[in-house]
Amino acid sequence: MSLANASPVPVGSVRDAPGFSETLEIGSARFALYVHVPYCRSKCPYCDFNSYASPSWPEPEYVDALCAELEYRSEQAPWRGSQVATIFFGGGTPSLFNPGSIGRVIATANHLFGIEANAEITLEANPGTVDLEKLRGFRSAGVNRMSFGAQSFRGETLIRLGRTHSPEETVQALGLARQAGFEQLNLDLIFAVPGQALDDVAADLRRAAELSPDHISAYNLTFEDGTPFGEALRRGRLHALDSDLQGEMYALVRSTLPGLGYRHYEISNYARPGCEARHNLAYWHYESYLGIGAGAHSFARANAGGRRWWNERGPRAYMVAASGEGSAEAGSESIDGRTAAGEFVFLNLRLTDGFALEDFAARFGERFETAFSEQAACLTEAGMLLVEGGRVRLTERGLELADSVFANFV
Amino acid sequence: MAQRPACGRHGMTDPAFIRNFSIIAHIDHGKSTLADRILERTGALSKREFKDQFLDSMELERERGITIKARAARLNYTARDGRAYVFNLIDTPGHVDFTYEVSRSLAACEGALLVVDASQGVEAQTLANVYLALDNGLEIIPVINKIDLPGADVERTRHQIEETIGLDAASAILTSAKEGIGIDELLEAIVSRIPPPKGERATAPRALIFDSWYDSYAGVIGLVRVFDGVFRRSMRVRLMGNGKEGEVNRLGCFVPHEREASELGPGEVGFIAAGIKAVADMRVGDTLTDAERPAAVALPGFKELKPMVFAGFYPSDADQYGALRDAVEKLRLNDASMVFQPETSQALGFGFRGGFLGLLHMEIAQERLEREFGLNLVVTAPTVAYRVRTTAGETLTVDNPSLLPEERQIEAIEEPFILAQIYLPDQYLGAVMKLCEERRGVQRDLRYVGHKRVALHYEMPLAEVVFDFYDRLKSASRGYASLDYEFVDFRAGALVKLDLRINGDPVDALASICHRDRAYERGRALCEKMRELIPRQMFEVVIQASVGARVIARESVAPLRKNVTAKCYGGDITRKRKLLEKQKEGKRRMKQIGRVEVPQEAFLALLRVGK
Repeated sequence: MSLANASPVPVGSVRDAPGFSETLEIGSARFALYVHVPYCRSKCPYCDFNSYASPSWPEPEYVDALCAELEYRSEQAPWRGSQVATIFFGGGTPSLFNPGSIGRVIATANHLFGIEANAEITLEANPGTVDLEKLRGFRSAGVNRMSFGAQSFRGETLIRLGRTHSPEETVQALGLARQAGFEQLNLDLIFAVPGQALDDVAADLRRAAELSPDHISAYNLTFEDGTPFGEALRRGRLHALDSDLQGEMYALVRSTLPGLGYRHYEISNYARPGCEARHNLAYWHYESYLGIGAGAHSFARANAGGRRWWNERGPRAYMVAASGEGSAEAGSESIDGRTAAGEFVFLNLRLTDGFALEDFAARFGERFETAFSEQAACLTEAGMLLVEGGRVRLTERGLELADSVFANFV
Repeated sequence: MAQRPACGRHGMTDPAFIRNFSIIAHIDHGKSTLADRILERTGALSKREFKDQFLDSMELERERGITIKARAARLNYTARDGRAYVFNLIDTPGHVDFTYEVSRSLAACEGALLVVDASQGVEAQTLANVYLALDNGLEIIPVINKIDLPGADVERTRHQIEETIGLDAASAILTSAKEGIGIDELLEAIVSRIPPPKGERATAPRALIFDSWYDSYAGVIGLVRVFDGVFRRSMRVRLMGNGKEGEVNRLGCFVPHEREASELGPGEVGFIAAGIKAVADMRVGDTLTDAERPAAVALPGFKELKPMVFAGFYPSDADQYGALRDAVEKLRLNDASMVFQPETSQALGFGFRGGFLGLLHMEIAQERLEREFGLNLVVTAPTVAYRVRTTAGETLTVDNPSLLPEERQIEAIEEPFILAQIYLPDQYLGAVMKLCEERRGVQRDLRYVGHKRVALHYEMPLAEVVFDFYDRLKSASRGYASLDYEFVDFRAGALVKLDLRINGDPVDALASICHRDRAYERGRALCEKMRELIPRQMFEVVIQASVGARVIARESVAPLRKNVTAKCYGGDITRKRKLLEKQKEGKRRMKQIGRVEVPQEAFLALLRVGK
């Protein structure tokens, strides 16, 4: 592959900026940037993300569209004059793209907004799609965190999930990533896959920890409507694991990973201290984020509420719109203060630390205990919610029944 | 005022040329199609305006394939003898809940067509009405229909009619209503075999009301059959049952469209409106007469129908209470046999206690309220009305089990008993008797009424009959048994109140009254059913059945193990919120009992127990 058309951004050259967790000064707004790459070599039967299986893809045109959209947004509030704090290349399979293409997007973002010095720049990869050269390319393009879709270390489970890689390829990919200079590494795991036993989940957790990534996401499999898995479930050709067993698996994950050095910090996420996914934290903290690419969602805070919009889903429609108008917006929603307060609560409560009462009050001009007095009392009494030390968070039981809890806030 | 013609256009029709009849048929043996053919052949409706199955006019009736309310149509037929005849086709409801209405419709006729499917033979539902027709002295013309079907066996059907009903089927008319075969023969048979009505113009007028409904313009409209004398516009009329009077402001007949006339004479069928405000004042079975020159004796057979089955009707959404109140008032305007009283339930909030003739009548009321008035209802399990004698010497009527006084205040609980008359082929006798005894029935009579045909009389508690007895009877006799019942009296029994508790709290809407010997079994079945219906919640839900303070059954719903979506759908928070909103909406449709969310269908669990 060629890096000829890439403009890699040496990480050291990005000018200094405050760390993500520091309090922001007025005028020093920053945001999370999400870049969607909608192409995959094959579509996994459980996946309902906006992705399209294809042997080839119009990479230069798609990157042109991404850059055009970035340019368009760089002239608009609230992004104009703001800096990029994190970038996340998600998909789809962004690792299918050339490092040069990824580099162009990063360089364009840096040119238009400026990227903070210690920005977290993540790229999702399938273990079977990378080699050393490519990983080095991503690294020198500015990517500093790789997220691998390992899913499982058991061949049978991978086959059931329709994955095209082997457990060995995951091990290999991680080694190569380290060789290429990546220190921040995430592994995605999926549990509660039909055919999986509790022991299989335990084994996957052990194998994942042995590879010593600094972050592990462990997702309970969900059967989404419109996916082959969802369809098979509806027709009775595939059965979800018993819900009690799924509960036990989730409990096993929560009790195992912390013992291996990974703190449980979000419903499905575990990290070594200080290695939490900063990009995803922006979603859970209910901050502004700009999503570019086909079907990407964005959220721009405004007063207590904000505006959310989403792009054309089809890559072709997206490219036509973004390359022409700059905007590929297909729909939007205006979020009023009350709705925003509910969203703030159910997003922040995904985090095991929950949120600070003062943050809620500062943002919505009303105390949480007043805004949601009935829900708070009821859920606290039911043992789902804890209000202590100036923070609100879910109990362990509350985490297991998070959707039941969250439904009270919408 | 312009001169209006009589229904017969050229003045009143001579009774000698009138034929009044109805059609008796099993549910899909072709009654409606046959009626359509007759309407079509007599030119009552052109093809264009022809609405399939005209007589079953209510949407609900069409869907259920049954006729709930009677209707009548006046048709002109020129017979082969060259004379013009008037046919009055009177339609009848077809369910045990409406036996009385059927009997009044039949009383308005001189004859009936018994329609039997040539491939299926005589069915049970038909028989009850055939017996009612015979009781009313009607001439019955057997009609063997669907003779075009491959499975048709005319001879066997003929034989079966003779065997099971004892009718001479040698002269049965063979038809295919669908193909239009045999219709002419049938029309001739109606002329030649059904006797013309009797009655004198000069006698004091008497008309039988066999249906009535409320019209927002004309007030109550009665569908009548004139037996004696003549009714005219502006005449002052009196209802002999309750003495109510009014002036005839509209009068006419259905051809089958409404046509006003100047008078209705002996033998004629038509409608009369006399400024009566409530259907309850112009009841089916009552006799209408001339207020100035009243008849001495009313026509026989009038009885006031009392509701037999009671249930709570509640809006799913408390905001709909006002809408429900308006809707039940409107429903009542058209159905005097239905009653509604406001009541309150701890579990369900504000609603009404409805009283009905039977379970089907109740279900129809529910469906109409939901469909025609756009309401969403929670209907509690139906119950009968009990009579309670208290230690203080009072007698109370209890039609809501949760209102039963405490045990120590009760001297005795009496329950309504009925006399059930069941006709059946003797091969099912064993199964049907067993069913009756299981339902605490006491045999009063058993006799053969024909070759292999038995009439069985049992006295039974109404509570054992109203719910699923009819369905059970049909399955025990493969559909061949017919049922008719009438109230006998109240009898003291070993009855207890069965409470259902959810996490310790008794749920008023789930209380029931049952026989002491059944309490244990019923309590257990009820708890099991509730366990199936109540979804897992954040905490354990304990379901108990108790009699007084004694718990007789217990079940529990384990707490929900896990309910959490692993992913947040990237930045698509809108989608996540919508999913949560949907989940919340689902919870909103549940009823809150303490902290427990109970789905609305659970309130009907009582009804499903034992089915």
